[in-house]
Amino acid sequence: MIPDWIRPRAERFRFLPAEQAARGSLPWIVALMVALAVLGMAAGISLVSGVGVMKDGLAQRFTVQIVEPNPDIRADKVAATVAALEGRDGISRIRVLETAELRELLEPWLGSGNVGEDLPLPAMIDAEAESPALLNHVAASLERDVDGARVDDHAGWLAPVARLAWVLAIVALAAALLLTAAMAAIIVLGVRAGLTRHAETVDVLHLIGAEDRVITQLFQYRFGMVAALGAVTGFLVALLLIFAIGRLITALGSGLVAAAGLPWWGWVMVVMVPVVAVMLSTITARITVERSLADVL
Amino acid sequence: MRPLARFENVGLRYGTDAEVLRDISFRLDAGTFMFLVGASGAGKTSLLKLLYLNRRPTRGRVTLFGEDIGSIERKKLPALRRRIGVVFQDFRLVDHLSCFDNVALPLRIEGVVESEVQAHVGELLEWVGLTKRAHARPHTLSGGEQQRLAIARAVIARPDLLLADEPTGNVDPQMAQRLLHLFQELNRLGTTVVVATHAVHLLPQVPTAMVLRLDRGEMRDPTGSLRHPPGSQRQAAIHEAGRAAE
Repeated sequence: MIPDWIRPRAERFRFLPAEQAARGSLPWIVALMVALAVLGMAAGISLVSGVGVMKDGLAQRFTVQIVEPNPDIRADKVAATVAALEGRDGISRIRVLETAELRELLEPWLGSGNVGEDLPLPAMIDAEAESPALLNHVAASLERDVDGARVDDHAGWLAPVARLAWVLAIVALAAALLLTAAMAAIIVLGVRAGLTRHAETVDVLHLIGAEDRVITQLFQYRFGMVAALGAVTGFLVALLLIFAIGRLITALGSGLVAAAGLPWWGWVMVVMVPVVAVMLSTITARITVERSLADVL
Repeated sequence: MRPLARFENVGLRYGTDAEVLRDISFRLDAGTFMFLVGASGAGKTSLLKLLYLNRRPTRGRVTLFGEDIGSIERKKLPALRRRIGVVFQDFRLVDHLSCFDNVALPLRIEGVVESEVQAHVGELLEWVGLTKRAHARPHTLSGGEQQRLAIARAVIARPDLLLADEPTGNVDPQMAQRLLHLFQELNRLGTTVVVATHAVHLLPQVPTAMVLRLDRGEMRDPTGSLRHPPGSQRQAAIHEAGRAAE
């Protein structure tokens, strides 16, 4: 039961016939819209957040690749590179990848057991610079001093992924906004249908002295309740899906997908979706009734 | 006397149709009982619509409670409408509400406290003989009962102006007479009453009433000699005055 202080006078005294909020398709449409908007927003924020997390972890990481077919010369060049890196301030976590690790990296492409001992592999050295400027400086000097050395900064190959993630995130957020706009349009249609259905009673109410706000408050309340019912339902459904998808992502456990997750501000934004949906429905109902009533004397 | 309403060369048309009212001019003083007579389609209901603020005049000037209806702001209308009680020809009762709630509607719209609403409505339902039907829905009432219910709703807030459109159209002669007495009683209490009717035989029953006759949207008898029903004291006085002048 809804307490009397929430219900406007026009609703308490049933100036218009009572209509069960759950009756009709409107709450379900709102539920669907809210669920899709929540999922869209969660997906968008997760992608952006995931890329951010990965960038934070990889921005200063780099790999020096030394392409040299002669193993002895290659070993010399590796030693020279490691020495050069160790001699620099701000360079840490220097690690030469073992041949076994390199073979493992190739196996997904060449097949297990197909990476022969005779296959020439480049040497690879992972390291971390304390700033992007230092990384650029080190990369330039290594490529100049060590013949065949090539420096790959990880942030560089992550850039297109980040761009794609941003585009997807913008698309997801735009979809959420469009869904919200569509919901508002449906509310407008619902309010107009309600006004048409009760036109005769509204006319009588007017003629015996009811102000517009009496009728406006009533519609605002009713459509607010319908939207609240739909929004809560849609939000709960979306929440269940988010948790289910989250579990699947955790099970995958690698790369960008694993890094994707809703940060606290993301949860705040997601929770705001049903709140905004209810507020928007209420405001839309109010404006629609006000505009419709303004046309009659 | 203070004019409650004044019509000055008023015309009214719906959309682009021909005028349904033309050059209507009269003055309605506070405390007057007025019959608005004329055949079906003469424009009685249209004139009432101007009086209960359902329409603005398309030309001329209507002044009601000192406000020019042609130019009054929309937001000022509810306050004026609360000073007017209307008995519609088709009653326009709110069907999803009980008889009690229908009568209570004007008071609840006004925001009157519920204890007062209960007392006033109960009293009025008793007055119109509908106490036993208080919880019935309007569509279950007879035509006469609906008429009385509509009247109760129109007078519950003690309006300054009571407008009734063919209030005796659905009732037997006995009930018609009772309703007329009820209107006279309200008029004696200070309410200005306008009754639109084509039942001219009712006119002599209110000898003091003013009569406004409409014919195809125009006022007939512009000299005013027929403004009072035949046989009424006022009519007799007019004849007396006429004879004396001769």
